[in-house]
Amino acid sequence: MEAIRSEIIIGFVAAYLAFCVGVGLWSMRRTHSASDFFVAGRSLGAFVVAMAIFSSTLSGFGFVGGPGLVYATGVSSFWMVAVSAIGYAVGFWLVAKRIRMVTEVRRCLSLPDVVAARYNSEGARFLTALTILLGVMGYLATQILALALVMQSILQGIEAFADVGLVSCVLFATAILVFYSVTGGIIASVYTDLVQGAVMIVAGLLIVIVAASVLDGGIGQASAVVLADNSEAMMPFGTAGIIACLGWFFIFGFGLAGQPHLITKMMMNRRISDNRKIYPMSVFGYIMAALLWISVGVVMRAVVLDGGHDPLSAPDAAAPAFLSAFTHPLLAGVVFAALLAAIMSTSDAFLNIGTAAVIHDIPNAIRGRSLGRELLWARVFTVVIAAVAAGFALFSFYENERLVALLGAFGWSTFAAAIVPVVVIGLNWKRGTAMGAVVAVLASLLINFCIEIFSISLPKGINGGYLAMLTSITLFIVVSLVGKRPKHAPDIARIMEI
Amino acid sequence: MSARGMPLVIPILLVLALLWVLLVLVAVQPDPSVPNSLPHPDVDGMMAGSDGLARLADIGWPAFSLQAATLILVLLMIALGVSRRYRTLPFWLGLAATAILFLFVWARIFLGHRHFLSTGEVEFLLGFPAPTAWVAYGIWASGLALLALYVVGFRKFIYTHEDEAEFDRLVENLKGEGRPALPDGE
Repeated sequence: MEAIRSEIIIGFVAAYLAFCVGVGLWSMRRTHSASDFFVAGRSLGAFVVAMAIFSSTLSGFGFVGGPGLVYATGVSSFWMVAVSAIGYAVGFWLVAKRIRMVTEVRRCLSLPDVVAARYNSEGARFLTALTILLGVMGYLATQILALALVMQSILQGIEAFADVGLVSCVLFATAILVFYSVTGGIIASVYTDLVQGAVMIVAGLLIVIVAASVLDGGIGQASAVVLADNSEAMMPFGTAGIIACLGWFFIFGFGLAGQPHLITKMMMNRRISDNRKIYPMSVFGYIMAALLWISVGVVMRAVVLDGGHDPLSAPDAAAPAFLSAFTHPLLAGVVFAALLAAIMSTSDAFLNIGTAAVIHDIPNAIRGRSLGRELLWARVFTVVIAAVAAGFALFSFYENERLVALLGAFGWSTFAAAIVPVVVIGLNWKRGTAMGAVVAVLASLLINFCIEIFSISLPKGINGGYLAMLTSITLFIVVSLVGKRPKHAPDIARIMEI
Repeated sequence: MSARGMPLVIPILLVLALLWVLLVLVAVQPDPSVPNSLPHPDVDGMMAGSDGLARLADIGWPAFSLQAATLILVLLMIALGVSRRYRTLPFWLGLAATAILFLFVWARIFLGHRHFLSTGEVEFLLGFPAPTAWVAYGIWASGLALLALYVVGFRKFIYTHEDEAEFDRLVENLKGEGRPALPDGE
């Protein structure tokens, strides 16, 4: 049975990977320019953009790390996921309309292009691009490592691949990711996101049904078991405590609108009025997929406490152990495909914005123009960035675990702290200045970097990302208010009036 | 300057200042007599929360105020996303109703937890202890209220037909000035 189970899972995963390759080939014929490669020619329909936004938001962390966090700390991590509806609200109310307008009138290919247009500042463009590049390397390395580890665990279920090594898995995983990202650019990325999002929704829905049937009495019984063992684990702040939860609320709530791989998707829709449909579809997709995070985590903690399952080797084993113990092989196949989908949909988005930073934004900031033959260089640097990230991933795994952790610190929190003031507030507040933007980005980099490098722990469990974000928002407003009132180009001034 | 004419960034700045004060207040409270959490006594890899009452003894109300201020900040930011001319009475009423929902949900979470800590009594709601259910469902619902307001008010205060026409004119003008608003490609 176990061998058949592994073969079914591999069948689903192979079908999914073949689909990604197919989409890469199909979208190659639709990618004729750098604009196609980076912003899909701003021609995407509402449904495609909605699925791309939500599937880029939920990475492998949501499918593996999320249930693991609930297993380890109880309810605490509910705060990360429940706040996303508010995070999407901040994104759509404050970013979606104006970022799309600026993109159209200034022919922007990337988020730093939008920042440069808004502030008329190459310094702001450079720092935004640098932040994106640093964050992308860390995020991408962790995603590639996760992708390879998942592939290795799947392949090892079959005798022929029992000895497959991690290096082979990294190479194979990176090759698939690079193939469709290079050939089809963002067009391949968003159309794979479409299917990746659909798979994630189906997996989330089916898993919550299975999870509810594991214990007699459903999720309520699972909650009661956890509550009886340790009441704080099941009460609203979990074992991590109130300050940690409120910090996550702030970072994941406001910070969602500062994730460049997500808001870049808001530059690609065909019509601005489509936002009215994109927003609800994105939220709906996210809620469905996120059900897995909550239900699997609670049920696995309960069944281990109840003696229905052996303790896990590590919290991150919660989702794989659940699939192995409680789901039909067909469903396990769908969920493993969804897991790969979650990781790859985030990875391809990072590859795209990282490439834009290297070949378009940083050269533009330094010498006033991007590299010639942008499409060619975009493809070349997609390969280079993926190769460097894969190298980081392997080096981190075998030699220095701290490397990726350090780069990872430039992940969500740094994006949030740097980009929320500059983009989320800046696009809606004409008084915001380039100096305010530069100071906000520098402060966010400095605080996040220092906290990570010097392993600083703040009193009462205050989150470092929270401190960085509060500081950067405050500095952006104060520095802008004390500086000279900025003069905007006529088109930007008109956009900010609309 | 009248409240009506005040730029929205001023109340945002005031709430940010309040957040800083509350954060410092939280930070300087005495450390609780118990650790925040401990390794689970029986299961490796799991954490267990320590005495809830002791954990919240000094930081409870500053933390409650911190989150209330954060929720107000969210709504002020949402208002910042709406052009000043569209911040009409119906818009503010919608936002005020959302604010009441936000604060109601937060109060149910916080006060429900305190009630449990002091009495040991707990009711279940849709599969979770009630205060936890307010996290799992209530925070989603708060976000969905903003979604509903956006969808219903899209053509009233987000992107009206006049805005659309204005933007189309801008794009046409730029084309006329020789700055094509569509990409050249390569």
